[in-house]
Amino acid sequence: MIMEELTFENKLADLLKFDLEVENEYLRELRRESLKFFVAKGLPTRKEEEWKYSDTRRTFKYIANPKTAHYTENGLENGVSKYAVPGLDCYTVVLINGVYAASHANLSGLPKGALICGLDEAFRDYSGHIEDYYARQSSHAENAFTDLNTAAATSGLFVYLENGVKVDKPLHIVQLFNGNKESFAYPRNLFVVGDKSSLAVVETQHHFGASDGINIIAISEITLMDEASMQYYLLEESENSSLVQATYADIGRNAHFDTNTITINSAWVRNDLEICLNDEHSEAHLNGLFLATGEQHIDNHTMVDHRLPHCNSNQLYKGVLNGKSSGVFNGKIFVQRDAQKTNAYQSSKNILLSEDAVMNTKPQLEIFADDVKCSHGTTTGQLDEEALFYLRARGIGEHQARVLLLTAYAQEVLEKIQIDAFRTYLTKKIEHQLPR
Amino acid sequence: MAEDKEILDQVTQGEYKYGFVSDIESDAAPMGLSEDIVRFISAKKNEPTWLLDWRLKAYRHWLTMEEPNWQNIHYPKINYQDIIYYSAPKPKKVLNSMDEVDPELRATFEKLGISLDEQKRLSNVAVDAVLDSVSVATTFRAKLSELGVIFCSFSDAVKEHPELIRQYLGSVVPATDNFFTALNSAVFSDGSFCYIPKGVRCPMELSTYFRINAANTGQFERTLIVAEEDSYVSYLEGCTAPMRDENQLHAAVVELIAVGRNAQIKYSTVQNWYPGNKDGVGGIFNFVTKRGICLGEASKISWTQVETGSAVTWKYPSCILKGDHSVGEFYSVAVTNNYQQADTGTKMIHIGRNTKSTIVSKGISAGKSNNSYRGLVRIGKSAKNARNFSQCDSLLMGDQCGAHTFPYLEVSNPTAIVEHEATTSKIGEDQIFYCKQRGLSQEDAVNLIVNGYCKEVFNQLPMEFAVEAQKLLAVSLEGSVG
Repeated sequence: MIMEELTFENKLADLLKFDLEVENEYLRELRRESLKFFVAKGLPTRKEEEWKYSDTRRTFKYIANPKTAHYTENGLENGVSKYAVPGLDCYTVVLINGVYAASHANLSGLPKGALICGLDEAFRDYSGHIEDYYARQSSHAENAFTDLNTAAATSGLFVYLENGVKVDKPLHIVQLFNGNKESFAYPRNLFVVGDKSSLAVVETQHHFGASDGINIIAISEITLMDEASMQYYLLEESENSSLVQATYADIGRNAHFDTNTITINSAWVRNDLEICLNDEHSEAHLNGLFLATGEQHIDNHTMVDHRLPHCNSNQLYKGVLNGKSSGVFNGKIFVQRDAQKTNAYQSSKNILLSEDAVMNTKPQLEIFADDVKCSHGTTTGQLDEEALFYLRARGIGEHQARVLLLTAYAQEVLEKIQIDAFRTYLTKKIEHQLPR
Repeated sequence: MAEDKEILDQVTQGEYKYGFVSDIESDAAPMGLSEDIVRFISAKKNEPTWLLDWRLKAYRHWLTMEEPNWQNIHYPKINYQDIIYYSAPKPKKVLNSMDEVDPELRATFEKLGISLDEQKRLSNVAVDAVLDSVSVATTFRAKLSELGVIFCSFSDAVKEHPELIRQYLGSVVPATDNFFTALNSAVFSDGSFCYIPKGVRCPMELSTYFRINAANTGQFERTLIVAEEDSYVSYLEGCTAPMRDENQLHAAVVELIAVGRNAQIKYSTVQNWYPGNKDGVGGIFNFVTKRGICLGEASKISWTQVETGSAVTWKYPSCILKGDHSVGEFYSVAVTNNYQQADTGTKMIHIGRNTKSTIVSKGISAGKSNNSYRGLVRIGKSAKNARNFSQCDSLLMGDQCGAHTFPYLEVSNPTAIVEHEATTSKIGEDQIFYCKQRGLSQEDAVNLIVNGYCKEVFNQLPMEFAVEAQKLLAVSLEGSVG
């Protein structure tokens, strides 16, 4: 057999090889293993059911010379204040190409019992705290990107709340990227929220300096202990970038998880949310909104696993597609044998504005318990002509009327965001972004 | 709870009503599959060369294919060399009247409740009875031919109307479509052919009863229905099979073609094949490819199915809506009990403008069974103003069963409106309480609620089928309480 050129997977692996020597034994083994799995599995193809509508090959595989985007401050001379959300009183942490930038963090006044630091620092100084949670949910069986991130992530964000710690202000995570179409960044967050603790997180993504698109392979892992609560709002708007974002959440008894994923600018996005309702009376709300235009491709996958009785989950995903964009929604609700008295609801609504836009939805239910209430609904259509006519009959121009209707449409998702300043910021952004 | 269990047990232990074996000598091919077997079947049926070539092409393609594995059902691996691909009751001679039919065969039909002479005299249904693989008797043929309606067995059609068969065979479901269609195309033994000429409204419901009889014979049927401009036909397919311990494969192909403007085809199925015993041993594998195409403007194809039998049901009756203003419908009740599995649903492919489709699927799972709805709605770029509504509900009875929904919605036209909704629930204690309070027994209450749940689909069935379907449902689920 003739030796072929190195595969894309091998090229990436080669980049990471020299980087695997870390002090912590657990982490060292984990990264080695994950790299092996990644190379063995390779990027998913469209033949795999979960990737039927998203072509990773076209997006990543044709990158001839992949490289890792490293920490850099070039272009950050004016500081990071311009990335702040106006009017939001918050703690701030900054990650540059996925690496925790301690010098830019603003954590003064953080309550006692709350620990926020880089993952590398956590592995060095708090290995007892972190090893029980790090990469425990993201299993090898699932997808190659998760393995890639586990192998590659060097220093993400670690947030640890002891029992009974209520963080008074939201935490704003500023993910900054600097790279080009060939570079890869691997942000990774780990949140551990103790019994009766609570936390609100806003995460935003930006480019800085001479940056033109980047490939972001990101993971957030979340553990909520009993009666904990967390709000996690993610704004994906890094222009020209490809993003694979996996979020894993493990939710304890009486705990409450609330997440909102807003996607507006990124070129190619795949979001995977895997939520396990692990104990009775736990609750999860998953909301999402995306606006796609041009050739954007936005794929939202969710999986909610009801494992024990009396849990609730609720999903609302909305999309507006214009230009030649394409969207995917694939939601899965599992109700395991023991999970009686489950309430699970899932809804995906989409609007196509142009001839060439495509929306593929696949809402799935897999139910093994009988005393449950589960339903899902999905619609794809266009703006209501009658509503449009109503507005125009009252003297509102067609364009204005469309913007008004679309804003109202988006509002249903946005109003679920409980941080006022962030919601206002998003609403403005979205109004600006709506197709003119 | 104890009461529920008792009732569930009663149902679980109910014997399969149609479990008997009729002892008719069959003229069978040797076991196994090879090119020789394909040639044997073709020769046995005196087929023209083009059909033999078609079969061989399908067979050669089949050899290159792999059995699919994406489905949400599990069954032991099928050994395709362990099946008899042809078995015909003999002697096969032209019958002039019902009296000439083998008395034992007639007794079999009587046990099934579809005695031919009874049918002929009392009802207005023409039955093309298919026992195993060869059409044994065709009634009402003369009456239909006056109108120009052709309704005959597939092998007769090959002899008498080769031009029609040649034109339409495989035009909706190509031989190479999937693993099981390729297999069917290679070895299909017989089936029904139906042609409704321009402007004719078929005066009676056409019906075929399938029945798998000899042990180890696969049933490879082909049904082809062609409706010309302004014609209408309602076709019924009803199935029962005797009790067997070994799994039997049924891989049929059904093709519907609504050729002309305003052509309408209504296809109804009640499927009650042997589901296996209560431990999940035996039962039929029902792997059928059913597809219809609406070519004509404002043509319509409607599928209605009541699936209560088979160990494994795996099929997706589909509509390709090509003509402008064409309509596709799918109404389904799928009941699984014990260890039965069903992965069924539909595909609606919208191509023409102003096309409409409706999907109503009702799944009922009981015992340790698994019931899946899997459906595709695809709105192509050209399908302006397409409209789809889908509803798939699942009812769970008992805590050992599973219900699954896998709808795919692919929309590439902004003027399309596509809606899908699904619910999963059990029979509410409050509903039962309400009925019991009004003097109904627990069993009657459940029957009432389940029948009400399925009403939307049963309403689509022709009268006599609706009655049979309700009875079947009652037998399958009597008294089960979730």
